[in-house]
Amino acid sequence: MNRLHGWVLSFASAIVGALVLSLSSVWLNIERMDLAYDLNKLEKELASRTALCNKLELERNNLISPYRLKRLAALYGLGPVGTGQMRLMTGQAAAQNAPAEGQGN
Amino acid sequence: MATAKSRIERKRPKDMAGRSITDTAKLKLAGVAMLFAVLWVLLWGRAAYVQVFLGPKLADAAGRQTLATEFETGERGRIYASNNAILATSVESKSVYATPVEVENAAQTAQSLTQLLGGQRKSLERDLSSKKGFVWVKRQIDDVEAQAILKANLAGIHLTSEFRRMYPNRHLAGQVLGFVDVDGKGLEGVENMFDERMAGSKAKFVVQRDAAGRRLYLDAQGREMNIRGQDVRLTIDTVVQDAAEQSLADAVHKFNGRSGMAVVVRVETGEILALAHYPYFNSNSPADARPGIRRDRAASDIYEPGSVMKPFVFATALEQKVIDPNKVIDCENGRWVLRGKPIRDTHPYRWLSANRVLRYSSNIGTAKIGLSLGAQPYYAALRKLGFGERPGLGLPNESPGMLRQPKEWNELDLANISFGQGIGVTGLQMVKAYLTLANHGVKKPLRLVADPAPEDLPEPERVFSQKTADTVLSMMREVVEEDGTGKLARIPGVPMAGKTGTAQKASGKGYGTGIVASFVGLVPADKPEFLFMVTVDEPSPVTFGGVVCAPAVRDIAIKTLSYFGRLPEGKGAPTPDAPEYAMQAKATHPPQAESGGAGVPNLVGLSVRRALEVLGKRGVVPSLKGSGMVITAQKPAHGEPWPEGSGKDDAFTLWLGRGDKEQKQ
Repeated sequence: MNRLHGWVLSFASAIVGALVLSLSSVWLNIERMDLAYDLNKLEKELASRTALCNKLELERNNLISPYRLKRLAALYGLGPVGTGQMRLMTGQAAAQNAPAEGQGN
Repeated sequence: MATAKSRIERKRPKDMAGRSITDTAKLKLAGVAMLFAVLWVLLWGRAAYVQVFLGPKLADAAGRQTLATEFETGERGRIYASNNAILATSVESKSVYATPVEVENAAQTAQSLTQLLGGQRKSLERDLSSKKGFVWVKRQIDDVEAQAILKANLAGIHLTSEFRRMYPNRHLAGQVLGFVDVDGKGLEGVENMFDERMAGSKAKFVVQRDAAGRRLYLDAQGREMNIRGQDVRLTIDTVVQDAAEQSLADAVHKFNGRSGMAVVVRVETGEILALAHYPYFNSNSPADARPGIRRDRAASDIYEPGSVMKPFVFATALEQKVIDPNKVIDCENGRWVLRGKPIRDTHPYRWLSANRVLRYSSNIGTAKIGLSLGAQPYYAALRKLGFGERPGLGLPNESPGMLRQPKEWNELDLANISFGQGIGVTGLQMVKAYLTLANHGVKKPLRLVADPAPEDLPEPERVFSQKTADTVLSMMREVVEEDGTGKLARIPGVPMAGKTGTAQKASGKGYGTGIVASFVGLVPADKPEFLFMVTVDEPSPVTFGGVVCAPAVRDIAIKTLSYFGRLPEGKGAPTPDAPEYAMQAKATHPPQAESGGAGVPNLVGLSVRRALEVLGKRGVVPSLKGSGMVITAQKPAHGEPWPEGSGKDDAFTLWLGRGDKEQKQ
């Protein structure tokens, strides 16, 4: 009797297990499809933002291109530095000048 | 006993009846079981048939229904300049195509498309009426047009994404960059040279389709690879390139030239910082330019260089000890007949030392040096300098020039080749040869591409001794610094070595009236860091390289040196001979002063930077006088009203010093 009971229980468990696995499989597939839809949407958004980013980068490069900057500089009366007009204000120049200033003082 | 027997007998029929009922039931059960078993076997059989026998075929059919193969082409790699500016990039762009079988009314659709996109209505209508499965309507349209197409919602008309090649700096270095066709294949210049490297690769992957036909990526199969093309980085610097292009264009316009080219090279590395051509070529619209304008003429066009070849004769003659700088040569008063052909100088000279022959660019003197030198040594030196072979940049259509074998030279040929006639060179060959001189006699390869790094670079080869190269450089310095032909290239405070060239152009069997003017400059003269070359084709009415091209080289050199912070620091007021470069910050509408109505602040004792910041807020850029980092005096003085018309020169002047409170009166 006990042995039969054990068999029945095992069979029932197997059936329930199979059912649970089947349902899980269905549920996972649905989730997978949902995820695929979301991924699809996100990929499209990423592609569109990347494309926009590329276009903005292109525009930025156009705006800082020499011919644009030159036109803008001309508008404000600016031009390249000429001979005898350059004043180096970098650390190198300061270093060059520092000993002379020290001596002067 | 009898009673017991009869009981048994009575019971037997009953048992017999029960047994027969049981047997029937068992039979029925067995039948049902058998039926189920048969059905079960049939089911399993069918299942096995479907799974095992039909399985692959059905899986294939299901796959066709739910899976689709997609191809994706990667973005083409970018081209960068050495200062990180983007010279060429690809952006996503929409293209319009039609599926004619889906088009409901071809005439009406064609009409709508023509209104939105332009083009020929009749040919489009013919295409839309055809039985083709696919027809391009217009490729690589802009975003506004794409929106309009979407809004129109025309049956059978679809949009797809493609990459469109864009050049944000417009014509900058157009001939060097080249261009691509509508499918993104490089056809000229660097685009062609690195087409394989920059081209995006194709990925093939499987996607799942849902009932609505949407494509879903369920795994990364086939998408894990990087399909984007690789970038290329050039040695070109956009600022130097722009300066070269602008100065070249000015020279060509001013002297009515047909075309021109300019090259700037960093001597230490052999990197080409600028490779400019005029007329310009905009790679964004290659169809608008003639093939003659599109090609990289510095690499492909052969011309007779004229006097810019002379330093190489001098270097070879010095190396072979045929001459020394002080050797006196008879320049025949400007006319000398050799083998019945006259050789002329622009100005008549009689006796000139070798250095003066170069300084005044005497053809006769140079021809005599060439004749003393002989054909074979000169030819060998020219070959070592890179003439007669491709410059080795890898650009498409690089020409090896035209250098005949010395056995084919007669005396007149040797004389002509000595002063740059009768030999065909390209601009890049000439620059490469001068790079050897600038590099103190050691041959160095020119470089246009920084990344990918060039492979198999030739070993540095000494062509001339350092002493020879330095002697020639000092002779070339006289061309600019003394009363030579290149004095218009002179930059105060910057020693320059240079050589002018004014070459006749071959026409038919002889020489016509066309002239190629050129100038090569090396800065600084004693230890060159930058090499500049400008060539203008057929200038008029003035044709001298020293007049047409030397000022352009000067202009490019000033802009390049100022960009790299290598111009000498100002010691006083700006030189009056360069007013076009004067930094006059003339804001036409100066910003409102923060404290309107107040007088000029006291700037004495402040650092230059701080004083410029204070004045900058008022829209005033002062004139700086003297040298040093500290303001020692100012005009207007402290408390005086702000000067009117800040755009005028010297409206506000600051005197600089070393902080010793020295006051300028």
